[in-house]
Amino acid sequence: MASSPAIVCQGLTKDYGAKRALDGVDLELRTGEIFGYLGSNGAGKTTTIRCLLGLIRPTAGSAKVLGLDVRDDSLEVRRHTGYLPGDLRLYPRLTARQLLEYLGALRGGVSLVRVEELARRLECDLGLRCGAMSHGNRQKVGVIQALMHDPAVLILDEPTATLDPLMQRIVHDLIREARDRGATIFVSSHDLPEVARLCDRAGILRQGRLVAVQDVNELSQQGRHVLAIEFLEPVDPSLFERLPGVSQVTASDHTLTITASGDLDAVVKTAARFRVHALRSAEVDLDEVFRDYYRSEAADAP
Amino acid sequence: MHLDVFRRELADHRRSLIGCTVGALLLGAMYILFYPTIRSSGAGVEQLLDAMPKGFRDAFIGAGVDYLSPAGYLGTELFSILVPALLLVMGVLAGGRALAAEEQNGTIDLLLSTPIRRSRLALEKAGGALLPLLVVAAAVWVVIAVVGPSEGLSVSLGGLAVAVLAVALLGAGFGMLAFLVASATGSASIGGGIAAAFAVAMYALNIIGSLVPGLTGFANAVSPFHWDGGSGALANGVTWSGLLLLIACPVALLGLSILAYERRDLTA
Repeated sequence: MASSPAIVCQGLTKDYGAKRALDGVDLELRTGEIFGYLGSNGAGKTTTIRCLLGLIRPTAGSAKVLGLDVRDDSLEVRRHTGYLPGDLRLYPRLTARQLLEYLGALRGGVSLVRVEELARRLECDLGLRCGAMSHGNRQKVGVIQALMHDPAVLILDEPTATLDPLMQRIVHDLIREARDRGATIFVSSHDLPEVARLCDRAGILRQGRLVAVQDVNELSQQGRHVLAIEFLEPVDPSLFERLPGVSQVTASDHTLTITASGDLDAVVKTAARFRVHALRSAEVDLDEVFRDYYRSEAADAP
Repeated sequence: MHLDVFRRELADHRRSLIGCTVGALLLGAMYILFYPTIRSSGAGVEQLLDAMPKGFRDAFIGAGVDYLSPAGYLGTELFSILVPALLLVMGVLAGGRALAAEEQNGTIDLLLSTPIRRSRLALEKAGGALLPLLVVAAAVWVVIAVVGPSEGLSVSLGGLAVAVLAVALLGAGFGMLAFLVASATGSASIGGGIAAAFAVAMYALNIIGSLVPGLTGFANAVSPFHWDGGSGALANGVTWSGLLLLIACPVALLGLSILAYERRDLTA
């Protein structure tokens, strides 16, 4: 993997008045990788993306896509990029097909065969007017327009936020296929499990600052598990508090909510001594991952 | 150059264009059909008009223009207020809306993720906003040229063409003012509002100019409502300097719009 990076940000900074939305972001995406851009709402994900597309100008710093400056060569950047906006709005009076033809024409023409193929895979009816579509269907049209010209770079802002799990999987498949033919994918998300499933590497953005860039495998190991175990009998929470890796146990009725990091073996084996009615694994809270990250960062400091 | 944005802009607003064109045809036909009745009441009308202060008479009928002549009648009834108002409202609404609506509807991200320059987007949007003014102006020309002669309203068709063009340019000027403010702020209503307020002020200045002798020179130089010849456009013609100013304003405003638009952060 000696090829030049597909996207480079250097000290990318964006101020809105007195508010610093993006604070010196340094970032490099390797050609052919799926990169997750993780952050809670307002962390600066969309600001980064809109800088890359030339919709807003950075206050300081610079960014390159495929070696092209996003300010000076915006036209060429956009020619080779497919973009799915986070807050996707379509033209309500156009049918999906008319919209895609319009955007395709602005790109100098795209393959209708490819459009039809994408529509078939996403089960999207192109004859419907965008204004009459559900959120999910509009999102599918957004995915199609981002992919229809087989761009070298895909920038997807929360691509699956409004899709059901089945469609999420299809979109993930399409993204992986794009990577397999050599495209670089920059995907923002606030959903850690999604990033863990889909991405090769991920960066964590917090209040406009990139606080970590890691292999996704490392990132999920760092994450903690939250298990809710509902017992059929009263269980003493202190039994679990002493177990290795467990940081917190809260009890209500017969349900214990256990926060633990690393290996869950001891927790599960201890629970198995009692009669278990249900066991749920809560989604890992991104904020928890951040806190863990900061904790480890603080521990590393001399 | 496929002009996709330009064609999209026209297609999206074809209904209002059809409505305005039909409206202009009907309005023109109505005033033309009134003419024989008004001319036959001749002297009474003249007396009424002569009783007006000279400034008002000049402002609404045109200096030294005979109201009952074809050029005087059409100039007063159509070219003093009605047709300019119609084209002005069209221009201001379309100019304010054309670019800013993409931002306000949130479609600008999608549109500008394609490889189209902002300057070209602005040019095509402006073209799509202005072409309807020419269509409606042409409709006014057609109805006068076709229906007028049978009712005794024969005017020079060349002079008529210049007069309708001047009024279309007047609408285009205020339309491009709305376009400039909207492309600098991202708000259609701010653009349209400022342009409309400015148009009212300029119209008032034109009237005041013809009433207050000391202000006449200033008002005539500054107000676009004087440049297009006003109600005297058919009888007295449109001056070259007026026509040039009417062309220069929208062109300059469009240029400024592009500069403002290219430098701006677009609202998400």
